[in-house]
Amino acid sequence: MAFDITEKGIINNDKKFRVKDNFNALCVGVGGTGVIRASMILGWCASKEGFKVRTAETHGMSQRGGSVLSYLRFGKFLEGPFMIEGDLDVLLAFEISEALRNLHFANKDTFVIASKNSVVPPSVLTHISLKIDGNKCVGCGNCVAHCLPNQIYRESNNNHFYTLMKGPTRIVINGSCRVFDSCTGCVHCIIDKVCPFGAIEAFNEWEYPAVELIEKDISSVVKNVIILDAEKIATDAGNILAANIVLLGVLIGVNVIPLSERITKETIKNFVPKKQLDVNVKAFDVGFDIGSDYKKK
Amino acid sequence: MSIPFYALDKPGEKGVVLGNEGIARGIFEACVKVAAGYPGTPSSEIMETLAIIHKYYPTFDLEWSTNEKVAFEVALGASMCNARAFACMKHVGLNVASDAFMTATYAGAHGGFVIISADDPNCYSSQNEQDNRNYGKFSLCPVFEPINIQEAKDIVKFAFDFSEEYKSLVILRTTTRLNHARGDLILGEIKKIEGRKYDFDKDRARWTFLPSNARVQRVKQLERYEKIRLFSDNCPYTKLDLKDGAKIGLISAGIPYSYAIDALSMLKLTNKVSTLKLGMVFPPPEKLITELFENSERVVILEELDPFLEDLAKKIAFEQSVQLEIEGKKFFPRNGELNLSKTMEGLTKFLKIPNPFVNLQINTSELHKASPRPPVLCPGCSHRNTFYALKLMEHKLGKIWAYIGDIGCYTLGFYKPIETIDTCICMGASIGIANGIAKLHDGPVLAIIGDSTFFHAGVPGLIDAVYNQNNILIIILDNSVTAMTGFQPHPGTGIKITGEQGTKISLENLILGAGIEKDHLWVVDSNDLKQTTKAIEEAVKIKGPKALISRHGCILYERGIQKDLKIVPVQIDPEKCNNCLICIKNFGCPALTLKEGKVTVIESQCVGCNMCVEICPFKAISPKE
Repeated sequence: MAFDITEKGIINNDKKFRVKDNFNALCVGVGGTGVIRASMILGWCASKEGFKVRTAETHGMSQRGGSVLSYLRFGKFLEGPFMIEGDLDVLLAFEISEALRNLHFANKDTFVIASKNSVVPPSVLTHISLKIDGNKCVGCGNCVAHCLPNQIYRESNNNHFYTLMKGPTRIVINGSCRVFDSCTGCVHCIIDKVCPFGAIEAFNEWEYPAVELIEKDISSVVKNVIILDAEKIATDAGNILAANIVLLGVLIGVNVIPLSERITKETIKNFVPKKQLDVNVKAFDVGFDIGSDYKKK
Repeated sequence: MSIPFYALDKPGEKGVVLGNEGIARGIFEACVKVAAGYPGTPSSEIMETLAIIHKYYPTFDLEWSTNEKVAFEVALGASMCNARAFACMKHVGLNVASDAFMTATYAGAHGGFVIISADDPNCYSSQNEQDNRNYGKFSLCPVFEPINIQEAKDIVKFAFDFSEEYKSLVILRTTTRLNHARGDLILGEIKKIEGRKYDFDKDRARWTFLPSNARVQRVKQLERYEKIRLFSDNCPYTKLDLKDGAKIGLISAGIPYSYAIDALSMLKLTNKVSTLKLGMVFPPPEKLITELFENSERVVILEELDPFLEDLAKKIAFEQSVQLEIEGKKFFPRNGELNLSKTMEGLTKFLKIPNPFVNLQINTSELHKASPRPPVLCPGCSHRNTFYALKLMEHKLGKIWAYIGDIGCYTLGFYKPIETIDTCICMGASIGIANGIAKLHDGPVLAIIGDSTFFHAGVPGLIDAVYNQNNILIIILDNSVTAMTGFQPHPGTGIKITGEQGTKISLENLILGAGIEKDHLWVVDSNDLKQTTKAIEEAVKIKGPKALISRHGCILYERGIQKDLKIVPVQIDPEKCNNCLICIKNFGCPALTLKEGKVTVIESQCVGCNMCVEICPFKAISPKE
């Protein structure tokens, strides 16, 4: 065990970490990834180890595809559930873009453990649109004629009664093409190169960054990061839903917070369905090995 | 399922619970006899936890009431019978109950009567962030506010004893950061009340508020208030901690107090700042506040939302002729919730010291931004289907349609790509406001309301529409459950909070009983696009009050209770699909996504409602066989 619990607080034995009174963790993800359950398990572990525990979460939006965030603090001397922004020991992310979203809570020494799991919000797809370069567009109307959704709109009342098209997708006004909100973002006009002047550009105000870019971003700002395919490990262990337990295994394995393997495994058993016990133990063990093999910077 | 920790008869046992579970445990330990509430985030789990406890100890009665006014009145009835009563609601719920509450506080409590107001700073799941400590001052009702889960449990127990001793209603005020927090809890003893008679107390002059009686009760209320005002300094949950030689004082209560303790500890100023922690925030402890003033040169009040304590403190300073600097809202914001970072910022500014905890965090300005992830309607949600039918008809028939909305999952129809909700003010306001707009607007006026919301507050609006012959179409989105707050049952489902069968109330009968003509009431299956669009088209062409029940069970709820529900997802024929993206952009089902530029079905999400089958202009989508 790297830590000693004393009256003055928690002191690390290998002297690589600051002397601390308490530990701060953030569990983030999206609905269905087991964020709150993981935070609950860690909270119970901390309580069994003799620490005071405070967590805070917001309920309800997770099942409607929203972000989920749980603050977790434990230690000898603490009162509230929040940490100061930047004072974070561990960021545990069950979805990769949520790790990115919550990096502003972390500092460069925060240990980031994230699943590669990528869930693109459905809202991203409904915000794709186009930009027309006014300097290049001559108003030839070629894109208006070629636009498939526009064609469907013109036919909608007669042929496509149940297909909702609220209006034309684009028209030429004052010698220039104007795109409307009913443009579906199918970007065929770009793919099929219908504009002889290259004036059309795709544009999404709600872009979901590529996973490789997210991973690069995270690694560029924190010293210690483990990003793994927790979903695959869980599936191999027997159930994809155990991905959150894989990450708990990694967390205990890297040994940056004073929660023991024994107590964590004991606690997990109380929080997973009895029939899935073996699957979850296996998932934890694989994660634990990955964590303990990691060499801290 | 084994008995949960919070239901154990094991005083001294330690565990970790949700704030609401801790509060429910406290209510149970206090030997409550009747509990009533209406679902409302962040309070709902209190009643649900009591329902689970009730399975093991059926020694009390509990119910989901039609709305918070009824819930309060049910509890009041129990209190009138000398029984310990509890009413559960969120902050705006107390508004609904306030008609009864404001007068009940004159009569006071017979059996102990505790009301919880679970406030929501930062409006995480509410229409506003009103600060219900103000109700205490408004009604002269004492308000307790705990700083953590252990204290919440203990203070609830104390509140019932206090309520009976002082014959006063009591408000227990909490916020999301307590209700939906988890923390340590040590269980206490489960109290037993024996030998009490629970007959209705026929002290008629006490309960009948004719003006002559009201004036008498008013005097009693003021006398009661005076006693409680003097008690406040002795409240066991209020603590004055004067530090030797400290020139700075800090007053706080509730969760913000916990931020103060953490901040002072991090600044190493714990012994340099005197603190006054209020367990009873109203009435305030005037002697202790004055004592703090007399021992400080400057005092800061740490609270979120309104300057409630600040105003009370400044009044006391004026009355006691104490001259010193007292500040609060100058350093802490009035809107949104407090957290440790904001506390540290405001506190260091007040103390005129640099903030050593600023800029610890990573600078994320150069990094990519995660895309916004607003909540959306679930795949297969029947509300999305009704909204889609409405828009099809609006597009076909022309004119601007006014979609006057209400509170529930369907409020999410405000966002893209649905955009079929134009207003949402409070429970039931859809029908009320529609009545007003219909007198002026040139175009169809539709009130969009859910089933639970309709029972809660829609009926008076409906009756108004019939009686005053207002030209509105009431669309009741009936998914047969109170979904947004966590799938609670309601009068339309007929299931009681305990899971037992109650009496189911028919929406059709209620609507016809209120006077809507038989051929001005349509009942359709939300997932039947043909039936729904036809009914909408017929309805908007008729003048006068009309109702359309668009009914289909909440798919998330049904999947939850029927584990082996057979689902046939859809599939896309790549030969027919032109990737026009109309299904994604204009219908917006989350189970349809783009993979490498091609429209793809996420099979684990698809519930087989087959709406997209109708929508595709190329008939490229069909059920998988």
